[in-house]
Amino acid sequence: MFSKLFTLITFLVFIFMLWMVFWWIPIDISQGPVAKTVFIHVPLAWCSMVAIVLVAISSIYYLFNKKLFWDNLAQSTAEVGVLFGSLALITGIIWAKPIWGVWWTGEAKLTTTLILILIYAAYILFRSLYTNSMQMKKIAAIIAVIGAIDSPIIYFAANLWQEAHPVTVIGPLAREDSSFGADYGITLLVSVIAFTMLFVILTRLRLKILSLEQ
Amino acid sequence: MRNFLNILQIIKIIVLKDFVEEIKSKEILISIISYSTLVLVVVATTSYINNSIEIFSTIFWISLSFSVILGINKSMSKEFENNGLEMLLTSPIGFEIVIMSKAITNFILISISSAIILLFNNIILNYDLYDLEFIFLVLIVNFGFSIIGTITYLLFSKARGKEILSPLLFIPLVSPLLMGGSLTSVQIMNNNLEGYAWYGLIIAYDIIFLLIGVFISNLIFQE
Repeated sequence: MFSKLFTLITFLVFIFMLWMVFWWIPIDISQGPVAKTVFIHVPLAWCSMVAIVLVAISSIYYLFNKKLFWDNLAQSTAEVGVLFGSLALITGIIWAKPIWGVWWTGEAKLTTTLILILIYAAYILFRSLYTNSMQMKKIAAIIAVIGAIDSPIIYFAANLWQEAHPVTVIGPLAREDSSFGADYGITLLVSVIAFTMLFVILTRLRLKILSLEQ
Repeated sequence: MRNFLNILQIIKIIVLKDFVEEIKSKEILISIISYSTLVLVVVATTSYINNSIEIFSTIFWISLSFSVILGINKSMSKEFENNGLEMLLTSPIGFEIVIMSKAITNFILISISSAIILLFNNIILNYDLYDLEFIFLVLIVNFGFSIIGTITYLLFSKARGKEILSPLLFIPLVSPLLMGGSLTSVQIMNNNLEGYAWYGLIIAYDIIFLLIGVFISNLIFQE
């Protein structure tokens, strides 16, 4: 009952978010309509970061108490996280071409995001290739924790290398005030909530499938 | 203090054992050097640019990182042959000491190979790079390569398709080292080294993975 209600609320939040993105907020003067990809790109990137933290926490829990739930949670969040991370990269590329004039640069934030996706792709591939179940889960948990060590690099990368990616405007490392207006800020907040809810639904579904398989 | 000296003694014995084996077979050094030379030959035959700073740095790090994968895989798989690693683990030695010893062996082998790779790079790409700062940079990056390579090989040692999985995790994990290595080497070649921040970062990264290696050794070898 609760999950159905949650799915319905997510659907309504998504509809509201789409209305805000396409009708409520004006088109950005400097970047044009492509600036609106930020409302998909940022929430996707946010969810993939949340996924990495969740994978690391659940893997650490699994290493300590060996409860299958934590391993399943790590696997589910890793899979959904890789999906969201890949989509974040794709939407970033779509934004970069008209704004930067290139699809891809060797810029740190892009590169480290790709690196993280590759680490978690190795994690997922490893899980499918290893036959010994208990040992596999343990080693997978170790890989997840190692991967999580790389994740802070993503957040600090833009400040360390200071290249093409827009500077951080939200959070403790923010360097300047956002050029976006308040309406952009509110819409971004709603889209982050909508995508986070979608992330929860997808992870929960994957978790359910995994427990049914076992 | 005495314990520490004992640990050093054990590490020395394992490293020497590996070296005696390598002196007999020469498999690892030959495979690393020949593979990196092949990369250089491909570059030399497909590129007309033979003295660009950027291309020198890029080729050096590409040839080094890919040949290191080959070398570490070879070095570690030799330990698995004839249950060598199992024998080592049944002896009264801490698991973390086994990982340390293997990483040190790999570090020395990679460093010897990288000296030869650098010499070949200098000859084929018409460069003369024997700067002390560059050599120190290569050494700290090599240490990271060896510890991360040892960990990734051991993690995947019992998995199907470990030949694919090991580089798939190794390259992403060493990429901060590669970024730092290539950026700093370009600065050194331009005589424009902007401080030692990257050196600090690379050393910190090495230490993090050294601690990870010590911490997870029990988890890897428990079964």
